[in-house]
Amino acid sequence: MSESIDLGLGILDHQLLDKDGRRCGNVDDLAIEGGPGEPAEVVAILVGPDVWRGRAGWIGRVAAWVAGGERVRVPWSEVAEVTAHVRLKKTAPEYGLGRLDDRLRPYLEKIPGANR
Amino acid sequence: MNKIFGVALGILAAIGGFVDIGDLVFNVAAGATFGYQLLWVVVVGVVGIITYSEMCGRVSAVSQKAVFDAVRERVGFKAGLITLIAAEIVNAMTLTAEVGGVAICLQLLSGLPYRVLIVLAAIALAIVVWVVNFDWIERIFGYGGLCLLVFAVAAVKLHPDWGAVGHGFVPHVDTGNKLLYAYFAVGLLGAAMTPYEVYFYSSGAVEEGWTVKDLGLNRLNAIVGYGLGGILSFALMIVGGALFLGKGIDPETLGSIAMGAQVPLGEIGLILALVGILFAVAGASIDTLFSGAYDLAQFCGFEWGRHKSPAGAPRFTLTWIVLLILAMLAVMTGVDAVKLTEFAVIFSVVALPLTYLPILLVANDKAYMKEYANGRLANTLGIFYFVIILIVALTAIPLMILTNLGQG
Amino acid sequence: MAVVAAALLAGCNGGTVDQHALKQDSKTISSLATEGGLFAGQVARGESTGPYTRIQSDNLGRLAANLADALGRRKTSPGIEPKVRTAGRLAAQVAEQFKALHDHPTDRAVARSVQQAFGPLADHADKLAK
Repeated sequence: MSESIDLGLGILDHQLLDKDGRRCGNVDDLAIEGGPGEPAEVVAILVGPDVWRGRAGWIGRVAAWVAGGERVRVPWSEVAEVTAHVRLKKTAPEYGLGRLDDRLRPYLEKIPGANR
Repeated sequence: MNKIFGVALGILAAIGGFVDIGDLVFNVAAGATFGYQLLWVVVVGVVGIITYSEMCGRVSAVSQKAVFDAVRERVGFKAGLITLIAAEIVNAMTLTAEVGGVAICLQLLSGLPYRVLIVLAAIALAIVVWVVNFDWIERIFGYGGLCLLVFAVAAVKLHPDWGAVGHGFVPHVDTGNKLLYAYFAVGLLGAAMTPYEVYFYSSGAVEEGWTVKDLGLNRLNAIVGYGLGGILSFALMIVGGALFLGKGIDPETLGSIAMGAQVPLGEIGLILALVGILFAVAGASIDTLFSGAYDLAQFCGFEWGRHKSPAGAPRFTLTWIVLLILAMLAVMTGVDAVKLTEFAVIFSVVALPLTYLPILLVANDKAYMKEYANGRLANTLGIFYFVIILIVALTAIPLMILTNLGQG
Repeated sequence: MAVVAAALLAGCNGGTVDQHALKQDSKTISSLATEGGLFAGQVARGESTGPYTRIQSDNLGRLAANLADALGRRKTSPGIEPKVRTAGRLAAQVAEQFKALHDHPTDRAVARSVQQAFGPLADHADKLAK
């Protein structure tokens, strides 16, 4: 599924939801292909603090460093629908998204009442 | 009938939850310095928060996005990041002041050592947030905050010059010390239109799954809840004016504020005042705490929610725990909660345009809002208030310096 | 950067005590003494609680003591030194009265005498503030 660049920019910074409606990041950037003279095509969604580097000057670089600088690439073909949010076809772990939440969860679950 | 009962209860909780430490400090201090002359500023502030809360609720109900989601999408990544950093700094200051305020109240009620109570307060807040269902949190702290109505009774019992009180609702400046007057006006507006409140409100709207069907409820909630809550602010200022102004007392501690109810109403007034302040400030600290966590979660895109179990939103949970610990440590440095409150309110005023401009833009954006975009009334009010917010934001820090933090 | 500077500028009160600072500090002493009188009156009527009296008198007393300390130590503008030191002594007396209240939080007789002592202290501070 290829999209015009207008729609691509229209989903920038939107919330990503996985198949189950779980929040797993924002659309931090888009990978666009197409040289001069060719129609630009969104090929992937880029997610993660590492992507912030290029988007906000030095503040972005500091924020990226503070947040741990990881990056995940989600192919555009994985987008199921674009409504208020961008819904993906599979679950978050299958894309490598939401890993920090998954890593933290076992520690929190050790405390009573964590799963009320 | 049941629904009306539910709405009424919700409004009661909103009234009790309206007042936070900034309102307490600035309203009583304004009364003690200028009597009833600044009452009209409180009205301006209340209408302002009603305007923007209604807009936020509408944005969230129609677009299914909380304010910070919309901020990043609408103003872009860089401006969104700057807004986030500013919001988190102000939030941290406010939270520290509130946790300090809770510890002070606990100390005035129990007599136990301050340092111990700081840790106890933080732990108690953490346990409440971890274990208690959020609807119950709102009820407990909202109803407890209703004890602050003792200040309304106190205001009447102090026999203020009601003519002068009425005159105070008419905008006028009748003083030689115009700079100090301006400083208090700025502080009162900042205390009424706190940013964390709108972030919190809109996040709640998204979580409750508000849709366009709930727009009427949203409007009612905002108008009645905040409007009646404003009565508490009036009461605080009237008490300040009736009791402290004439005697030349400048209330510098939370305990002094409680005395405003103690003098006309005796021991029971004192206890109700302290309990009311405790619940109002504790409730506000939970709102502030969550607002700080919401902002970060919504900006970064990870899972959040007040109704989620702690393990259901791990990074969100970790965020509020860290924010609470940092606030607790900050309070333990011995910082004066009342002075910090003044700083926090003034700095939040500076950040107000960053908070409210995106809301105004999104509320007008037909792509987000479809046919529910701002009508003429909402836009007139919204733009009017935005101009006020800009002026106030630009003058806040100069005024703070020139008046030496309200010392004149 | 500007934020930090603003914070420092607004809070900074050290340095030489000039006429303006003397006036401000005298007003604060008067305010504390008046508030103390009002507070002690409540205690004398039995309209307070033990913990509140103890803690609040300690809080207010500490404010007065800090002021007494500063006014006793800091350099002053030429000509006003006697007044500054007098203000310092007044603040110390205010602190003493709060201490009496703090040490006997439920003693109504002590509260009454403290209330009476605060009156003249407030008046004296008012004169200095002119």
